[in-house]
Amino acid sequence: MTLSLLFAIWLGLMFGGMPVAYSLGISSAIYILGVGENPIFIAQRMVAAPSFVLLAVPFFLLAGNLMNAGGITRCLVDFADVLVGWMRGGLAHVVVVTNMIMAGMSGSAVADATGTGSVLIPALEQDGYPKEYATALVGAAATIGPIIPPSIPMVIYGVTAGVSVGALFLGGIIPGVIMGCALMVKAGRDVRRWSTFGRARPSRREAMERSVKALPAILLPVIILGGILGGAFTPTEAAVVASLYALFLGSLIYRELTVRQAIQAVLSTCETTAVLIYIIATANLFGWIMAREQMPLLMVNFLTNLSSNRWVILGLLNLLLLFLGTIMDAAPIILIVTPLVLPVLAQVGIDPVHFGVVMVLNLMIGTLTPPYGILLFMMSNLTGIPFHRVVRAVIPFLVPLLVALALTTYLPGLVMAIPRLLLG
Amino acid sequence: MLSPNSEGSSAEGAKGSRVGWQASVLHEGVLIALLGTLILLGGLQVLLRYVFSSPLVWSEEFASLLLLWLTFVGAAFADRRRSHVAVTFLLDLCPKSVGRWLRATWLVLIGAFLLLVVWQGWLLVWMHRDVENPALGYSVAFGEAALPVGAAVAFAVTVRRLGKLLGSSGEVDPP
Repeated sequence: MTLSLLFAIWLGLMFGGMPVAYSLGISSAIYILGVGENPIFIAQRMVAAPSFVLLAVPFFLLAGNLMNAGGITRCLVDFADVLVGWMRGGLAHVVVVTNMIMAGMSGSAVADATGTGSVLIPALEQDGYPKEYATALVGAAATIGPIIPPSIPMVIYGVTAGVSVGALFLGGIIPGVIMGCALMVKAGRDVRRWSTFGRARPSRREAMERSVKALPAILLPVIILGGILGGAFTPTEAAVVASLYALFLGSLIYRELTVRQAIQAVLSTCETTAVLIYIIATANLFGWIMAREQMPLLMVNFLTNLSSNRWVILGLLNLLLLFLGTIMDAAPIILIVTPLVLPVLAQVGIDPVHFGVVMVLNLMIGTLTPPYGILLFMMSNLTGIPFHRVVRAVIPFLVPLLVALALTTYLPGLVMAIPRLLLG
Repeated sequence: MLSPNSEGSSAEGAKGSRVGWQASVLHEGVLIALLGTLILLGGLQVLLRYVFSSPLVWSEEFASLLLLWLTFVGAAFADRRRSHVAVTFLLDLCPKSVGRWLRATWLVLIGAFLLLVVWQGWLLVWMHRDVENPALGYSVAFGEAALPVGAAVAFAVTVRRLGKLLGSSGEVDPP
């Protein structure tokens, strides 16, 4: 009873237009005062959220912002054009491949969508793609960002579940590539409708030039992954190195980054970090209430009563996460749901690393599903296309992503192969 | 839809009053200094660990302290720039007068919540004033103080926005 009231207040505030962080905090505070619990828990749970591992968040965000400001993103687009631009529907493939490469450097879908969207949507329009289609394609491709490492949501899951962030990162590689392939298959089919053919193949010399120019940028994922793989870097250190390297590339190699732009990038990183971790702080409070109300136990009983088969449980969890993704942001879902389902995973024998990747993939699909979809909001802001039209254009792209989700869910080997091989 | 982040520098957004402008610049400066220190510290730590293999013992704890300040001072900054993530499409559908009252109600609720956080945060800091952080040798309260301080700044920003909203003729002000 009290719990349903809590949910009602929270959803009412959030869909009434109150910022997400405050809707979580205020509904939790009302609960705590209502049940007569000591209100000092509010402060205690909120300061407990910004932990050391979350330090990776500002650094991965900064790396993405500096890449966008410093001309690195544009350079990657040119390189992706050399790789796949000549295929039929060339530029659509360029969008997907650029996002896959970007995914190896930044950990945030929103940063990827902003960076590639501002360069590629105008170019797609010029090539004859409808603007809605271009917008939806960029949004869908940006969801690869947090699946291919590094990944901010995986850092959050790792902290919450007590699972190795390195293993999660490695586990995301194959699913991320599958998502990219699925989107390229879809784009290759769509393109027949607009009779856009491959782009003129750049001359051999130009192709060489572009590849050489992109080389220092392509080294970044190698450094990040190599560092984490070799056990040399913690995720936070890898994030520090990534942002320092992006700063170095933008200012000294590509020379497009001005001091003013760098300061803007730092300031916008501060803002995004604070917005994200503030949501985590209030979600932490909300999650504490879930634990106090014995939700994990209820969850175990509920799910294991339905079935004890782990494939069925995984399917049910997917449905739950897809549903939650339509009304909520990824970070609070990870914080609130993970502790609830960990005991279920243990009971039916699902590896928490496998589940972590499946969860993040679900939540990335959730960034594209209304009413609450952060990428939908962002793409609508970026292009000025009304929200409902972005939604309509995005729906067909959910199919390849759901296919990738199904494969990742039911073939755990796809996730676990690389971590097992490299981490044992 | 998503609360827009298009006001540019907050210093530009608050040109109206000199005090407001100075406060914005100070706010930006503090945030840049916090993240700048974090970057330097992170870089230094990587250098010391891999090149000189003698990492600093206090850097993790100090970095966590900086992150606490970055989060809560930054959250107040996001209040100032109206860049907290919010779902505003239902609010945008409301008639103007209804929307205005809803926004005012949300700001009052947010203000009350922030006051509660300032109060409880202060109690927490006071309770922990003698709890020493082993690596830093200082009280953990130095980090936790970010919560009441940040919430107090956010409260001031919220009151100012509420005043503006009620004083205006209902111009759009997404909370």
